[in-house]
Amino acid sequence: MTKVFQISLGILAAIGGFVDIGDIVFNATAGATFGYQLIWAVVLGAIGIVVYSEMCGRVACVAKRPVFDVVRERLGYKVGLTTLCASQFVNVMTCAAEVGGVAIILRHLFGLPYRPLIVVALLLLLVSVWFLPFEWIERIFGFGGLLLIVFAVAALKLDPDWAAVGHGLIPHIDTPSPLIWAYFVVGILGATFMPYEVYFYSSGGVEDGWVPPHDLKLNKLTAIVGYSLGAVLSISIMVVAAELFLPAGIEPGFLGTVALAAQTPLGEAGLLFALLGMFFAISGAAIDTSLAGAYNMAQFFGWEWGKYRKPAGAPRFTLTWAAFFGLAFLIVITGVDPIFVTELSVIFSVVALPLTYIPILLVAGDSSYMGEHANGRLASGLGWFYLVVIVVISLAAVPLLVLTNMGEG
Amino acid sequence: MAALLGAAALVASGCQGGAMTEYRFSKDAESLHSLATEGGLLADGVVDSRTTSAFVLTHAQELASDAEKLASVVASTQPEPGLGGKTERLAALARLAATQLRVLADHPSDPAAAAAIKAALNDTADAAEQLEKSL
Repeated sequence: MTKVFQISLGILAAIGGFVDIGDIVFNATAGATFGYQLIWAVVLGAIGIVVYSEMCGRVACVAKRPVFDVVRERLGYKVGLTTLCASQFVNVMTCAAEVGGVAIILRHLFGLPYRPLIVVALLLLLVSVWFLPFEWIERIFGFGGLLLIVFAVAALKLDPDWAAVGHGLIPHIDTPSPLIWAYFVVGILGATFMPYEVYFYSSGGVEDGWVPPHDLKLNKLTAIVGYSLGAVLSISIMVVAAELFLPAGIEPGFLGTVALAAQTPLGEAGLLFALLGMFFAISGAAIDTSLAGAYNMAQFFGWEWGKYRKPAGAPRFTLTWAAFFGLAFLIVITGVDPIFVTELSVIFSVVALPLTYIPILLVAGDSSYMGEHANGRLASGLGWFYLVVIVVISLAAVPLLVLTNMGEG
Repeated sequence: MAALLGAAALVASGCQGGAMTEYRFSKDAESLHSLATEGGLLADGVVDSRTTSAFVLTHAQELASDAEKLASVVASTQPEPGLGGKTERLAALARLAATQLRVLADHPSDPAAAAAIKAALNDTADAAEQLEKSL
């Protein structure tokens, strides 16, 4: 049981990359538009984020250096500051979308007006981060997000064509709209590599007090299990959407549409599991982003940081995560569509992507830092391969966004 | 970053007003078909008592709001020659779907009302599909 609790960091970090508000709708839209064709992109992204999270967890464990510490040292002050600005912009936009998402789910659960529920969502998140110890944040929101497993149950109940699902693991294009297909591939991979996941994951490793050699195995297990579960949830939503929405011609544009996909085969229980799973997953992603924003600032400017300290022990860190929630609230209370905000933030994250992942790869492979725990051939080879993937995503994202009108054709 | 913001603004500005081309008509008809079909699916849950009234109320309102926006956007376009009548019909259907969805939101736990609305929304979805095919 202890082991199960220990991997909760990986689950919570994975939720941000696979089933936050934007991913939930994006995956459903991918399934409703292309059936099972894009399952391979989820798997490709999952392997990549496992590789990089394991690396940055290992660096945090061995060198006690979380990601932004490494970014500043390897890239220098000016480029590091650019990375910081881009990352913080994405963090605050994503946090805003998630806060709005929590309010939407509360609205679906209780039928109350949206704007007052934004205030309720904000207070719930502030109270959770203020009072809960880091390990309980991981457990409550990480494992709560796993209620989304209801989509896997729904997928099984719908009994899809498993041969076609399997065929989806092989990259292929079977559509008259290859540009839109490419937009969705880039969107899925971009969301999987959202930088705040590795900021949160590596800082979480420090929060959890990882020490080598014992916790290096835990790091590997946490990354593999956490992100694999995230990928399973993501694929399940895609499969359910492919089964229900593609034949009916429904274009999922709301969180409610995705919840409806669980209700249709499983009834009221399916609906409630889906809504509660979304509540925990989206709340967890909101906490991921606000804490990641505070970790980044503290590590870049050399402040005291950590949830394991009391708020008075790390006042600037505490003020920063609270300010992230405050800014998120101000954005979302304007009435902007949270799903639109999160989809845009995925695209804007392209600026921060290579500048985040290059330093991780360089430091994880540097034996002067890592000693015997530096990258081996496999980690190094996979790291360079995925760095190429990340650079391609970064270059392709904006042109595809414009050419496809955000995937709408 | 400025280029990104420019691109985002370009996309965010969307397709309000402007010309109604065959391509755009087809996309808007697809959107209406989607909204009405989803509304029918939502109403189906009420008919079989497989949902909650809070969810039906709030999701039907979301769909109705989208249908109203679609009606407004379609009505604000300048149709290309030959599309004038169809564009008017599409805008009227979108307004009809919005009304039907508002009725569903007002009766989120009434199976009899939901059955009637489900049938009406399915008819609206079929009409939108026929309009798209008529191009």
